[in-house]
Amino acid sequence: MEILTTQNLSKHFGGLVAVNDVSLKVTEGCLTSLIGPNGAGKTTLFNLLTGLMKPDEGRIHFQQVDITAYPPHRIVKEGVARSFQIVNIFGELTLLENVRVAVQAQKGHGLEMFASVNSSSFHEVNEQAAAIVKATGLGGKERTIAKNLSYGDKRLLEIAIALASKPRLLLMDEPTSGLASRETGKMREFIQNLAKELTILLIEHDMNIVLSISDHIAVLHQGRVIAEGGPDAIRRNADVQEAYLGGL
Amino acid sequence: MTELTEEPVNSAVSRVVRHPMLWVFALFLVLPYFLPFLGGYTYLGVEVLIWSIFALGLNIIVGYTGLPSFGHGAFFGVGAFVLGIVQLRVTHGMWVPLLAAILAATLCGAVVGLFVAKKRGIYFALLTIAFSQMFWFVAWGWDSVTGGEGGLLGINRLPVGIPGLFSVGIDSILHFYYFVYLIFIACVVLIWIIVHSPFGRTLQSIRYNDTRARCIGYNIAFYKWIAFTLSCAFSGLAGALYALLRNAAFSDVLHWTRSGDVILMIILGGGMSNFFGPILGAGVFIVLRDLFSTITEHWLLIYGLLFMAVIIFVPEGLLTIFQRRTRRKVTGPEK
Repeated sequence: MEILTTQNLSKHFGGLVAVNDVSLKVTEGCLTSLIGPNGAGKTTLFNLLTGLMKPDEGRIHFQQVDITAYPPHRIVKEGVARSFQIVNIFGELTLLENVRVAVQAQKGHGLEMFASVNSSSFHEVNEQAAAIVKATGLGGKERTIAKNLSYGDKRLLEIAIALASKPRLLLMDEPTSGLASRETGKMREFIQNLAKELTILLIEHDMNIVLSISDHIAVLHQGRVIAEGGPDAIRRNADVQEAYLGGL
Repeated sequence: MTELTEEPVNSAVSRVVRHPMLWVFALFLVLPYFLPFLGGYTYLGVEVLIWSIFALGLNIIVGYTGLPSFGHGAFFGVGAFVLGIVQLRVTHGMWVPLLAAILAATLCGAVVGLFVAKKRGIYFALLTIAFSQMFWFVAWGWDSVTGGEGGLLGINRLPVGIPGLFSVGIDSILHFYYFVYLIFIACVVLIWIIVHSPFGRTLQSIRYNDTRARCIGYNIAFYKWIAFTLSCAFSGLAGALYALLRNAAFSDVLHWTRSGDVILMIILGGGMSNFFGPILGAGVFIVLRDLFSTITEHWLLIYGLLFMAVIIFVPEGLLTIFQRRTRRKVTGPEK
């Protein structure tokens, strides 16, 4: 069953067509990857899906609900969370606080003015934040100010914050970008584990990762979907080789 | 968390005793008695308390939410005038005018907030200036209600208390000092609780990364509006107390340059990185202004130089000079 569908989605920036008539389906429980050369419109598509930008044309449905006009915070509440390509964390807060503030939003405690963050009513939020930090492999660094974390840890925190929103669909924008090869391997394993419990839409440049872990792949080129299919079909597709793989 | 409840009573008590808030309260408790030795006088102490309330409240939006408002003088002014108008024309008392002042400033803040809450940075600052100028024009031009250029005179510090139980005169400046001191304590405690609450954390997440805050589910315009409105309540209270101090309300307090003064206090003291910064900033600002203006009429020049020195040498505010040792204990919006 499709969890997310886009119909004829388009976004222009002046004369540039960043996303052009994209109709995409993300199947529940699957890991779908979005690939394409730089400037293909992948991140713009994510921005449309998360409400940070509004499409010029087309509709977005998530679990049969039309979320096209929803602001970002409502889309998160519906169950779509994302991680960013460029590390986008709360640099001045501690690692735990980064996650806690997201859990707090998910649980609807954001407006409580007269409670202490250490009070018993807040216990659940603290527990859950701590659990997410551990599950992401960041245990022991809770008190580190986020901006002082290593780059690899920042990338993990990036995902931990997204997970704190308890999404049904997780959009991951190049989680391995800038990672060393050993860390890339760990990240790949991490994504594979996540995919067991979550529907994931992944933007990724590393073709080895994409071809080995994806259930379904969509190839974007100049804003258009030029090919779709399983890893084997994509590997064989001549258009894809032309546009992206460079005759691999 | 469990650590809190399982903590031995002794250490819980000692933690309260070591709380920087108590030191601040203790300092202001005895301030009127050693102010003369510093060349000051009680009136100046009251001013410091009032501007501290103003600056601490404003810091909810400036320091904790990261939105530079240059327009809160308007709500300070609304508080001052509404207190005066209610006391002179509606009811001869203290509590009702004070509450009316807070309520009016909050309402005005809520309305202005609707227009500014979606803005940030320089656009937010400019819009708040524009709104405060509108309030200033009204106060300045509406002779029949605000007294216009001449101001609203004849505001009285009437005895306060609970009807039928007790009543204390606050006409003497020393009594009025302690009246404001009690309100100051209530405000500091309240603002401390608010900024350290889950709501306070939400505001900080907006300050540090508003895009991400939206993407984890916060309707940031709504939160900014709440924070803005809340800070206006404290501005209104401070303005009302200021009208009582001067026994008058003048339209000059609504001018945006006065709003700039409070921002200076926040930055000077270190409000961007410490909860107590605005109090130190208000103290330094007011005491030095008084000192310099008795020495030379060009006191603004010295003032400007001093401010530049702070920005260059201690950009995080004067409090950071004292703070080095206790940095871990004093929590506030991280720098």
